[in-house]
Amino acid sequence: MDLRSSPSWRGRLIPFTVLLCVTMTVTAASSDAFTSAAEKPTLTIGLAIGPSSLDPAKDAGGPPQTMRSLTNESLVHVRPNGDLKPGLATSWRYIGPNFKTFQIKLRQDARFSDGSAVTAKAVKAWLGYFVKAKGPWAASVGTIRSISTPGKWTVTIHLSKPNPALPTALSELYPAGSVTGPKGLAHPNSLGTQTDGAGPYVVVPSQSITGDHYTLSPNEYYYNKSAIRWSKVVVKVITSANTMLAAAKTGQVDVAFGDATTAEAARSAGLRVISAPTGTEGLVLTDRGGDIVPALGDVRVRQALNYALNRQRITKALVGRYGTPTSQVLTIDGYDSKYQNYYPYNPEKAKSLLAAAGYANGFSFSATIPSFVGILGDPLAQAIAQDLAAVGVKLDLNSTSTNTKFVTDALGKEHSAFQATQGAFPMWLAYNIEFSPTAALNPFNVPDPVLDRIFAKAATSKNPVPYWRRMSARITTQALWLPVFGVQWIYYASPRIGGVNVSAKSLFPLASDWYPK
Amino acid sequence: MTNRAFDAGQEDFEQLSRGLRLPLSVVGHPTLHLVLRRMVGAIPLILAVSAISFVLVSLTPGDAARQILGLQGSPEEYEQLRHALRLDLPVYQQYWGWLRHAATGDLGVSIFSGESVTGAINARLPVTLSLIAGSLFLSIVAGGGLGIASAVRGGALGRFVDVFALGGFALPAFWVGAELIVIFAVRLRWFPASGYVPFTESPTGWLRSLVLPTFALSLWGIAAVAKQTREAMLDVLSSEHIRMAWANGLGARSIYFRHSLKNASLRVLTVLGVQALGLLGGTVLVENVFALPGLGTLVVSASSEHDLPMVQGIAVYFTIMVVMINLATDLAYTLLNPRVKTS
Repeated sequence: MDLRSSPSWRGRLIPFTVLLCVTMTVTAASSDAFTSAAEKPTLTIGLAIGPSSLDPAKDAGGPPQTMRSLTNESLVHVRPNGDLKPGLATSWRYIGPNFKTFQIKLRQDARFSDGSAVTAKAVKAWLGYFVKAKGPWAASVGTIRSISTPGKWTVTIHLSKPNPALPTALSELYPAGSVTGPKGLAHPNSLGTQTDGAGPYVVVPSQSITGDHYTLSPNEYYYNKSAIRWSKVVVKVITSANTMLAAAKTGQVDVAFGDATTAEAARSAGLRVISAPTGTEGLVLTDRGGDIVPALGDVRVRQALNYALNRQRITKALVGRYGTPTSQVLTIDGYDSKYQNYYPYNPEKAKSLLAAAGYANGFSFSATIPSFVGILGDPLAQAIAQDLAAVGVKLDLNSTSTNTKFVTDALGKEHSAFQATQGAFPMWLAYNIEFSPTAALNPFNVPDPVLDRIFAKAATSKNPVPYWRRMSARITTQALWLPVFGVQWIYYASPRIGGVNVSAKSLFPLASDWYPK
Repeated sequence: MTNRAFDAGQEDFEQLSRGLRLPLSVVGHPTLHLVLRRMVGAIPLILAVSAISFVLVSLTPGDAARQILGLQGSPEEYEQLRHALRLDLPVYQQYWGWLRHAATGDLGVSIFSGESVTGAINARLPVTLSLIAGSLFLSIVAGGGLGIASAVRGGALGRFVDVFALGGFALPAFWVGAELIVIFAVRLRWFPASGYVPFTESPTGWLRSLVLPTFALSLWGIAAVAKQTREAMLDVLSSEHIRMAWANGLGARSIYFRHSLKNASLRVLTVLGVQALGLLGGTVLVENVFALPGLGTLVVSASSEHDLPMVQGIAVYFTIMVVMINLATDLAYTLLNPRVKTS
């Protein structure tokens, strides 16, 4: 008998097929819509990078601070316009003239997620732990000499060197202000996967997978119940930009960390696209002392490199409207619009400067490139190399495929520069991390006595802003960097979510400000 | 217990039987020998794989201290952190330290999160196993069905299988996955674009979250199984004993499924075994596209971050899974064809 003509075979196949289609249709029809209006909704956030650790002292910071603003309320709260407002601290001030003694007064009703009070003693313990952990942001608080607690709710920080940017460092922009409670500090290894902060939410480890998603439930001890607007917050880490867009379009995530390559598609899909310049993209010229490549030790050569770049063309090609051509390294408090276009595209001037410096035939140098960051990696590097080649300068690209390799080579002394996205720091922090002779990002320890003197004055001035701008001018005119464009961090927000804002002074949208519409 | 015990004579089996308090029929069973031999053989394999992976990761530039500090860490802070993490010890000392703990079942904790390696892997294991099992199931059902149908019907269906196989081999799983997201998640809203729902949380959600990534992963397997099934079936169907079966008036169902498919399945089993092994590492791109918390993404991030305890833990797990897949394949051989010896 021929199987193909068997009626029983067809007889079984057809009902099975119908059943399968019905099952698929039923399951496909189910959705994750909000339940009744009386119940608080769930907020889902999509981040392209997850926290490297839930321990604020060891985390790399950046966009995951969006999540940390929910679990670990900071001492100082930064508004989208950059204004600093009370967080766990109700007030703060410097005592004395030199920004070396900083006093904080705490609110008295804040509680950690275990119910214990956020006292001065707890904050002292936290800051001590933060410094001792020697994490990536330990330098943000400066050199703390000692911490005293003159009252149950008063903390006084004594610094060895002036730090006028301490209020900013203790805000949500950086991890130092994300206070962790004594219970968590007693078991520091546990902080990698769970939180003990005083924020409105707390991580639920049993419903989280490190590096993939984190589920946050309300902190029953939070002092401001009206600020708890969600029944649950889920933070998903989605590294693929297209998948992130798909998740945002289908409502799987309410607020997503976006990307210049998908932003227009997000806008077309009806999502609100929010962006703001939050950093600078370009080459950090570490060998500006000329240790490896003598040419780079001459300011005329570095200026020539800046004139050689067609920033408008590169910006338009790579990021479109989500980048701003700039000759200036962006900082929160040192930005001066006069220097935005200090080096207009002028290859002829570049060549004349090179000739004046004795490099009419050009020269070559190498730069370490992070190849794993999409268009801000190799494509940007090649665009820079192309423009430099037009004026006779050969840029050799040392492409790296992992972050550890990139950092190792960037901070080494085999290459003269590295390509980076530099977040908009306060100038005080930028100087200490990048430009001071002992800064981590100054591996050749190149001094700039003029810059050092301006910094020394700013650090003790009652109004340091003019000095920060002078520093910005110095950095620009001395061409310590080869900036290309001000990079924008882009976020997509569902129309159902309000309060999602980001600015050059707030860097990340803070989830604590969001609300359901 | 050594291999010598397994090759012992009857007396030794009897002694073993008395010592283990198990019937002689069990102790002397060849399948049990196979299982025990493989389990014991896994130990030196795990040692070798863990040593090789440790050395390889150690040889790549950078270390966990660099990853933690990033660009902000000063040289002094870097050296201090290296010392605190014991990364300044010679590689063999670091490996020995890991091995001593691993021998007691303690695979250590992640350098970055402090999370237990075993806990982190166990949290992600169901995702990877779901993908592998789903992919194999789809390969067997869809691929086998296509292969049988095309062998039986021939003609256009046979040509379709050939073309389908070409496409299945050529199209990369991550690209297929991305297209499936656009069509079935974004446009039709039939399935989620990303994420994994645990079975214990929602069986329906679990199934929905796996449909698209499983299909993307199994395309190659479906193509391979379909092609192999068809070729094997055609070979068997043209054999003399099948012609005799037709001549003796046996039913088509019996001929196709009981006599032909069973004989053809050995070749298909080989393909499935290879597919299962390939899926262990092959899920990483699909996991990335669908944002699934599987072992693939974990091993990539752990390797690039120099999270040595995590890399070692995953190496141990993967080695055990490879051993089990090979064992399952061999046992399946013996089930399908008892004449295949297990030694």
